[in-house]
Amino acid sequence: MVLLWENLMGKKVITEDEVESLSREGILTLRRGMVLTPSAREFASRKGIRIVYGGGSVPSAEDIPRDPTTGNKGVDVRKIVEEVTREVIGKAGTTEQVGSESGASPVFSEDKNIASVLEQAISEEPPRAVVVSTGVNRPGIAAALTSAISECGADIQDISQTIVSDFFSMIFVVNLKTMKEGYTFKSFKEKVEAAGRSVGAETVVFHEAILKAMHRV
Amino acid sequence: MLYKPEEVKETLRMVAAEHLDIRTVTLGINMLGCPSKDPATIESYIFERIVELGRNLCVAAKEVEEMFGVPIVNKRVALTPMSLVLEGAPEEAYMRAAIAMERAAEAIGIDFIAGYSALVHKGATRGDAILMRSIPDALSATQRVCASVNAASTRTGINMESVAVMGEVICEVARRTPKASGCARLVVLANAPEDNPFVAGAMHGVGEPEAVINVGVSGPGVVLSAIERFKRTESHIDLGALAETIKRMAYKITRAGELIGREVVARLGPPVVFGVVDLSLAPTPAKGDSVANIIEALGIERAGAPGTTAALLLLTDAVKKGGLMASSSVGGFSGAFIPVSEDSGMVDAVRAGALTIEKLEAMTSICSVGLDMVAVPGDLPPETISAIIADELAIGVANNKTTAVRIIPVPEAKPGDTVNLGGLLGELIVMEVKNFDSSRFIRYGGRIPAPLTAMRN
Repeated sequence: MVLLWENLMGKKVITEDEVESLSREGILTLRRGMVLTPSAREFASRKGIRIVYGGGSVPSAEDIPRDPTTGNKGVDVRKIVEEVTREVIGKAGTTEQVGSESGASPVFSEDKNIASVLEQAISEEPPRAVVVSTGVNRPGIAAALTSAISECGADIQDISQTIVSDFFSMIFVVNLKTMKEGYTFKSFKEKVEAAGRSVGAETVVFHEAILKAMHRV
Repeated sequence: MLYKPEEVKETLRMVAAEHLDIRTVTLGINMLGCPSKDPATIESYIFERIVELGRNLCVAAKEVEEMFGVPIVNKRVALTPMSLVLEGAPEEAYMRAAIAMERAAEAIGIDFIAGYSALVHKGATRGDAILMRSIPDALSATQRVCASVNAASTRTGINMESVAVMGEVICEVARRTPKASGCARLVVLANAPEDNPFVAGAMHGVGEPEAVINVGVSGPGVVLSAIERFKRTESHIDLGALAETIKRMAYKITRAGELIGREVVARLGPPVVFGVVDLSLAPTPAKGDSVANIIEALGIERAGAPGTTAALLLLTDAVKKGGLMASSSVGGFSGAFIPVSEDSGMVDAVRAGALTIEKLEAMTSICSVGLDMVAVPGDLPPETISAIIADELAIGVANNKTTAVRIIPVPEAKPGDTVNLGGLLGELIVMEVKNFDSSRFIRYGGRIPAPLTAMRN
């Protein structure tokens, strides 16, 4: 009980009733020292209000389970977690190849903290397509497919390729979020399938959602 | 790799080689809002309401089909049972309602529309009686309209008066439509589900919302291939392991079904909401897309041979368990379909003499429908047809499950004759029915009381 009281000391607790009045244009910015009640969080998600963590604080600090042995010193643990996370993601960011899961541009700056980037990455998973191509191996197949993909402005996130005797099989996972204006899933599918056919490779494009539904619990 | 190449290839193989498809996306529409009982008003109301809500169904289904690469074989519409919509209207209105359904189905580009139905499991109202008697007119004047009558339920028993009427109605439909094909659009049920997406028994029940998409998955071909592959690759095989294989495949099929249903709903927009996935393994006449072949893959020489009912239990149960894990919105029939003419393996079994109508009846105590697409000689008396219906409904009533009869008395046909209805309806082989008289039993009328299992409160 003491523990709980100390944790809440000096913090502003935001309840369901206050969510709407505090949010601006569908975004609720939480600053350091603000705590969102679970029902307020639920209310916000129901209303489509996005929660953004501003003021340099860690997003879900309140959600990190406290170590019972250190009691209210849990803050220190959280600081460590924060710093390590920042360091790891910061490093990865410099390679321009941050986990394909995030999809969004992993460039960090002072005003855009880890929290908001992660939050965005989770809430806005990009639409992805899976391109499967098979046929008799010959030069130029990968080039034909990748140039068709890049002409649409789509971003290849993962490639797998195998060649058994003279047959090849190639699978691309493609992020469609970066597609140029005017392209839709349908036109992307038509273009890439046609590009595959033009070099004699049987090519099928389908939406990632079907794979996820069938193979992920 | 985000997905293992095997996972990607499995999905591709299921669609391209093993006939994974969505058997039906069915739009259920509430029709209880007709402003008047005037026949002309009813006719225009029915037409306009179906077109208003259903006009984008085929387009939306096509888009989703392209997006996921999984074909949606049938797009259909199910309506509130017409007997409820038309209750109190003059007799003329019934025919006009059927015509309006036909016109609307044609306008939105679908092949079947269901809901020319009556719920008479305890007794028939004046409107129910008119509707049942109008079925031969309605089915012979249309090509797309499907009729159904729920004549029994576990809670009420079997309404034998209506069963007797339906025997006569079926014989009349057989006489008045070419090759008795109208009977393929007419079904008598026990415990009819209110959210079943499969015609001819589809309807939009009174407990349903304004408009709803229900999805019927398919996939006997996929399950069959999974079993064959498992048998090739594993050294230790027992029936438990085979059940597990079927269960896993049913999970994947169901997930695909729900995804596709929800995507169609998103495209249609309000007031359409997502309803249920019907887990039924629905065969098609395509080679390999057959429930009978699955039973044979489980080690039975021919569907109908001793052991068939047990194999069907294993199959149906595994499908349900895999499907229930995959979706929280499971409904409709959800079992295995064994429509004889629509399943090439069943047709072969009948031809080989392995499958008789009696064995089929035994199998329906396990599967989800009943005597479905069964052809019998056209000279059977209506009372015998009614008695066959009564037997089948009794299985449903006693076991607290859905059963149905879609029987086709082919005029001038003898046992062993074949009749081809074409398309999804497939090839019928006329089955032999024991020629003994049951007419006194049927003529007694009345109602067979609800069984003890009805007392659940």
